Amino acid sequence: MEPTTPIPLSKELVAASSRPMVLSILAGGESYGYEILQRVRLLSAGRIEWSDGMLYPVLKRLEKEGLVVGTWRTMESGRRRRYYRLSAKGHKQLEADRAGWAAVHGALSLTWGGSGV
Amino acid sequence: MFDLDAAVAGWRAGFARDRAFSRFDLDELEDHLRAAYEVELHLNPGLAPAAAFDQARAVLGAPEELSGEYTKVEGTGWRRPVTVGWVMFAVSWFLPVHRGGITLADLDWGEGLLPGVQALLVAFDYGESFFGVASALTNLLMVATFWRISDAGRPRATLSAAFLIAAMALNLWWLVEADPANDLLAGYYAWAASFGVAGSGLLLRARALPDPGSRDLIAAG
Repeated sequence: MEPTTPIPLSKELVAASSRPMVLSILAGGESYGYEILQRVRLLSAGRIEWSDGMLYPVLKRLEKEGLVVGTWRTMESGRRRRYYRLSAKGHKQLEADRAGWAAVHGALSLTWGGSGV
Repeated sequence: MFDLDAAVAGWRAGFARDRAFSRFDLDELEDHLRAAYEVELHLNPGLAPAAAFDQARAVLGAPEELSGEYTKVEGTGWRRPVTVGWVMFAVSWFLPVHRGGITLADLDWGEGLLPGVQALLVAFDYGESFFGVASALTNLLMVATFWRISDAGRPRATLSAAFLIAAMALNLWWLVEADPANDLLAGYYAWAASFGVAGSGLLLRARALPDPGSRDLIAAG
């Protein structure tokens, strides 16, 4: 069975992976902060644990860079919720990120496979 | 009895004290907090509501833990020029404006007129000139920027910046009308420049905000 205890990730790795992670989730359809965090936990089987509040500055940065578009919506309960969707620029960035991470993953896999790690 | 709205209001007040968070940021974080609280209660039905709220609040993080990241994204470079502009504007009302006008030294406090106020009244009554009245009214534009400018979306920040810079251009009309070398004094220059300084700060603010329309739009759910 896969371990579900979150493993500590370095700040650098969290920062580097946050953009492709969020863009990948939004590629599946628009979403909001809490749901995005749950998706990250689900996709990583709990092994990636982001600090809840830290997601929002990431979303703000992506929005400022034009990679995602945020829209306020009023829910039936009267509560306002901000939804995010991928922009055309975000789609292009996701493709570039995907190619980059695949190259890194491929190289590391070969290295670790060769050394038996 | 646990009052969720009161607890949220208290939590929100704690965040609002930190200028890194705009009203929109707090709306978004509040939505997260409420969602986390509901899930916490759903997953642990035996949990006391107050304990569920404390848990959700702890997981979200404290203001001091989050403010650094928010500040990094939005930047604070705009605050200094806006503040300097506001201070210049305020100080200018106490400085001598025109050689023929009053100064603080010879001010008759019984009349309640500051040098800047005297200049304002002169502008309003300046030979029924359109420019005089328009120039006097630009003070309202500056005062309008005092109202929750940190919460302004990109459209309001851009408009405010454009108005202030246009106001500065309009207020330079006095350089043509008066004899700048002999008549106009520090109060005028500080007052006129304050519009440009605050306006440039608001332009920086506008550039740091998301695309127009995306921030303030409330769509029907």
